[in-house]
Amino acid sequence: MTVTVSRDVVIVCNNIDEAGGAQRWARSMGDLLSAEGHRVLLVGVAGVSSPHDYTADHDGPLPYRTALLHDKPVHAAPRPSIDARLRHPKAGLKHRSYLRLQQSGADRLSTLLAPLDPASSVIICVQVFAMEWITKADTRGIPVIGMSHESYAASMASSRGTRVKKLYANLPRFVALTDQDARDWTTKGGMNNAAVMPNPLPFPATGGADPETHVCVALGRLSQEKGFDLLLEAWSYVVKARPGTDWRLKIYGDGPDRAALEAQAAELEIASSVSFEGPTSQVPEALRSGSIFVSTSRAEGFPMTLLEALACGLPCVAFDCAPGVREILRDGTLVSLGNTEAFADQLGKLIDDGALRGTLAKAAPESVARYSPDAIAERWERLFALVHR
Amino acid sequence: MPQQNEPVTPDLTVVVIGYNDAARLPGAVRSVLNQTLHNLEVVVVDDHSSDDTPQVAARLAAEDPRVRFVRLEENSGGCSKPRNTGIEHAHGRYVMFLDSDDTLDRHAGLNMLQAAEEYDADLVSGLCIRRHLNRSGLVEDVPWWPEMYTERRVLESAADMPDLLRDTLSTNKCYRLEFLREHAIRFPEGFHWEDLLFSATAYLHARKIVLIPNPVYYWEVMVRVAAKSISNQRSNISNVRDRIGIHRKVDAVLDGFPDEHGREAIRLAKAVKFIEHDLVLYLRELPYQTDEYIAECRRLFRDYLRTLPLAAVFARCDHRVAVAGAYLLLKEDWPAIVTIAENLLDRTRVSTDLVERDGRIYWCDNGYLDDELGRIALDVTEAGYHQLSLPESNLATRLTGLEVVSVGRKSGRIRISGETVNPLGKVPSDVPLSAQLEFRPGQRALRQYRVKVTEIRHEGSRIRWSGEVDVTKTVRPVGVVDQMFEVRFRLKAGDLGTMATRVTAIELPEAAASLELPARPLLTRAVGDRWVVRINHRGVVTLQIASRNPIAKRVNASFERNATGTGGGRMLRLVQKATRTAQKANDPRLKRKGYALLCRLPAKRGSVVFESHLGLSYSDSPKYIYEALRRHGHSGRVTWSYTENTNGFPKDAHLVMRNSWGYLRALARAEFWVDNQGFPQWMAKPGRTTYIQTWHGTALKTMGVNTPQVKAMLTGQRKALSRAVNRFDHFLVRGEWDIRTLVEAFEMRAEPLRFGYPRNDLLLSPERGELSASLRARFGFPADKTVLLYAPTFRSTSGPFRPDFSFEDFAREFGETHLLLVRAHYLNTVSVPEAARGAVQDVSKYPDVTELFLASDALITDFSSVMFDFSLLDRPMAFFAPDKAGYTRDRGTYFDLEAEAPGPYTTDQESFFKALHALTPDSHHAERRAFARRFGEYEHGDAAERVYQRFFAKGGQK
Repeated sequence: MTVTVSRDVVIVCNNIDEAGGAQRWARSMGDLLSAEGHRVLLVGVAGVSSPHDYTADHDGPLPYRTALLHDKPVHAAPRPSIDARLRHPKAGLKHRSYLRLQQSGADRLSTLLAPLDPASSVIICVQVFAMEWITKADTRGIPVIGMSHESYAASMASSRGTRVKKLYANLPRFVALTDQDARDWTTKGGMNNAAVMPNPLPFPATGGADPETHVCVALGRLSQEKGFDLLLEAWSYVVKARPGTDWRLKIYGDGPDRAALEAQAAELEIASSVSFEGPTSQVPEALRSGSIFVSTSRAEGFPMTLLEALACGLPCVAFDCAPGVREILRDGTLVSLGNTEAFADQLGKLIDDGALRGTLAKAAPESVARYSPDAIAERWERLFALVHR
Repeated sequence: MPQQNEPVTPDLTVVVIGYNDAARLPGAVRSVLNQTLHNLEVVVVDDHSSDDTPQVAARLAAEDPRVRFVRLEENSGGCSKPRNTGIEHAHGRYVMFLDSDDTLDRHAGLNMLQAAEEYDADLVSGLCIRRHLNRSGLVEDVPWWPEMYTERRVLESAADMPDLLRDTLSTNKCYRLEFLREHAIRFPEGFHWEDLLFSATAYLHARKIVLIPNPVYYWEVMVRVAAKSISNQRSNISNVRDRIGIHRKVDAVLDGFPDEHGREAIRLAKAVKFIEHDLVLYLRELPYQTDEYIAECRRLFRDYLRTLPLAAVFARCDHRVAVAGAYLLLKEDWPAIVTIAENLLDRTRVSTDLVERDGRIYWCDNGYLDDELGRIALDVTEAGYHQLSLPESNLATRLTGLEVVSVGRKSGRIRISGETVNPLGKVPSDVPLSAQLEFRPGQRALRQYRVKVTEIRHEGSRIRWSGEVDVTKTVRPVGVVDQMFEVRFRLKAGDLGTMATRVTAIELPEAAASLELPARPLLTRAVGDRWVVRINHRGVVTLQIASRNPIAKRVNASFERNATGTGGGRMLRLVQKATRTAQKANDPRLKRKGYALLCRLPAKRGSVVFESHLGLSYSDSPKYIYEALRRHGHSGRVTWSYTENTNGFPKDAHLVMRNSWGYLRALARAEFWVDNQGFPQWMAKPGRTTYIQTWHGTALKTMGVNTPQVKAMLTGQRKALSRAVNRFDHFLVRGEWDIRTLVEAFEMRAEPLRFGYPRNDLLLSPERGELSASLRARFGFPADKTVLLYAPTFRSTSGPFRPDFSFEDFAREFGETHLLLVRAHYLNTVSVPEAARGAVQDVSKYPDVTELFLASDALITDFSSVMFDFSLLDRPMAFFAPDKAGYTRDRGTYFDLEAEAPGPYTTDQESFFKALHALTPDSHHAERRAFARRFGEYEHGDAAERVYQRFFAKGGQK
């Protein structure tokens, strides 16, 4: 599909400088939509203390503009309840100064939006926190598309669920990551504007992993949410069932739980077969160094690493923790969440069966073709046209 | 983007029709103009209103260029002409219809358009929401045919989903305008029920149909509005004629449907819908109509039914009573049709004697059961009426007489008599009967009045009764808020329990119709002064307050005006505001704050709150601790929490509904919490409160941190769980096993109380032999049969469960010698097939499992923790667990039951039955004893007493 209208697309995130999922998504969308001929402006509500260098991925200058509403990190101070006010007399003042800060950021956003043509521009609100700023800004009738980068269940388990319902309900479209999530938002969450928009693959699905390296790879932030403690538990069952195996587990990433995880590995007596590789900026290379990808997350939205692993040609074993996982791994190996014994069984089957690994590896890239950048860009074009109807 | 001056084709035209509805028209139009879809137009068609509608519509058109206004030359009296006119004037690519008193969802247009374009569909249909005021005056949203709209469905034609024709509304749909023009699909003029034909025609012609789960249309059904809209005026015979006429027309359109296979499927689905929906609508009101109406209506329905493929349709219908009704209409059996109508007005009501033949239950016989079609039609086995116990039943009770005994200035005595059906001898003739008449106001919260019925007796297949009541003195209404009291009948039949039902009548006895008695409302006679007897719209006999003095007339007239909204509606708004406020009081956030504040109040000395299985019943260890408290004359305030109803809960305790404000207050101020599962997780325990957690069973399956469920928890959920567990101060254990499993798995800080379970005290009591005998007598178990208690564990899903062996086979093999009691897990239900009744009895609802233990000779289970408690009785146990692999895989167990079972362990029906035959009181004797000791070394039969002495007696320590 050729681009009929060149638009101004404003993408607003909590921040645009961390190395997190939402930021990586926003940056890749910036590249993708710029390449389609749109003028993209990436807006971060707040700055971060140690920004990730996104220019490193590009040879020349960034193809899109960026702006910050506040240079420094912003700490939300929600309206205190009556008893909180009684206990902390300053809570009310804090909240009011937060509101002033919010308004000044919103005014800055209004200035950024002022020169745009409302008839062709679009605002994409990536996280619901940023929507509080957009609501207070003068958008001049530019349609806003709200996004939720996590599963319906994960949203509802946090305060974001109610905020999504409050702040996104009147937008022309609110997009979730999977069909199942959009359906849940509609039928359970009462969000009548819910639609689907999966994340694009950041690189082409060409495979390339070797099924015979005898390495399992995991990648992610070393935090409780990503469940690496469960992975070590499952891995210990795998190793104990196969004494003398040459299979190894490589874990890429860093995070608050690193020391605890290393201690756990030692305690489980699997330290010799597990290596903590630390953070990496070369995700495809890291993935291609393994033969199986494992994910034991307790919660996910639309896990990009899983998508990337398939694109690199790795068979995957994952906990069935979210509709996003189910959707990506349509015919892959899913294990009921938390059942580490079953996870070890499934992983063991792949480890023991080289032929099966080979077949799955070959099929993997094709299975994620529907998330290719082109396919997703076309879906966005249709969505932009729709909200201008 | 198109240039500004270029005329743009609107994506959507919304045709808004209105007649004399100037007040609500702007709301409807605004709901369209505020759509997230901007590129649309509104065509307002005024059916030649005589009020301000034209001016209002013209103003709306002036305010927004997207609105156009058309006024019909003369009033058409229906919806068809205005809508057709709208189609003529439409410019959009798609078209929708909206009535002036309804509204569109803000996103309806965009959702419809997106679905239509994505699939290039002729027709998109979304969810219609009916908004009405419920009993409490609150707005309630009820989705229309929600089962059709659970997810997005794309159909090539109506043949892909014949049930489509159930949703006959035309307004929750979006049509491609070209499609309507191409097939000349229009609303039929001069008929009611235009929607039926229009939507059916559109369905049948559409090449692609998309159903979306999104609400699109809000149908504002205002039950309080006095003037019913056209579609509610069923009592006019032309209305019936039109309805049937429309169905015939739809059938004619269907004859032209190209796909022959699909055509028959649709015909069948349509006929099923006709019987289950259309027929029911008219049939249930039929006995209350005039004779001419009844005759004509019966003829119309009979003639139309004859055109349907009856045998196939009857077999397909789930609504068994409606099918019976259709059949009886064909047979022209009026008395039987009346019984059908009585049931259709209240689906739980059994209004005939029912007939059993070859294990099936039929509505009636009257000679029809010799006919194949009759057997299909009258079979109501699936409705399950015969399986209900007496308290669950609703046996039709009809008024047979009502006469005045004496009337004074402040008294009005009448005699009421009636008869109650007794299907299949539900109430045996040898049980002692007693009964009460109850007068209950429409508002549930208000007071009800009961009087004893003096005469009651069996008479053939009926139970006849008669009693006197001084209405004036007995029934004291408040006035205004309780204008109507239903007459109910409560029948108590010995140990079978009490059944409550409404007293109904088709027609009042002549004396009753003109009867007037003095009434004395608490708000004085200025709000009403007479009682009259009426039949309400559900066929129930009611007492209603009437005003005869001029003051009361004026007072009531003003309330009436306000309540119906025809005058200012101030009263209605006030009531709504009050109910909204009341609803806010139920807001969980408010409750959390309120609870936190209540916790700051001092504890009430000696007050205890009990709860068992989340308030489901009065049972388990909390019950026995409570009884110990009562035995010792504990003086503090004792509260029990309940969830569904207070049946079986002790009358001398303070009862609060779980999660009510009373519950929060009781917990916040209690000195002791006693419970076997967990009070709501969010409720923090005040520091001064002592929480005694009795727990509800020894663990076989892995618990707590060892389960996948807990492993899967995120940090926040884990913290919440450990916070909840750390509320426990004391934890009752049966043995060291409990400490190694439960206490460790939940990482509990509570002090283990090594007392055993209070619920098991009876099992170890010295009098257990006599107790068993008396319980068996009380339950009515035959003395010469071996009583087996079958108590399987929870299946992975709640609701009905299928046993792993056949109850029928059991009945065949053991029916003569054994009685099988089935106790499903409290989250499951079980149904005992007709053929096995007598040999198999469902005892799932009986709250106290300990008493069932005592009354049984042996236990059969799979993985349920009842095995640990039952082992104390030292009676035989048998294990039957066909799905062991699946169960242990999903849950994991602490030990291998198969290897260590203290009784025969079987996995298939044949060996299971063999093991039952071999079971003697002494089988596996040594293993049984070892098992009981291994898991319950602290059980000595005095647990409740020790709990009492430790905490509640004088000098007890917390």
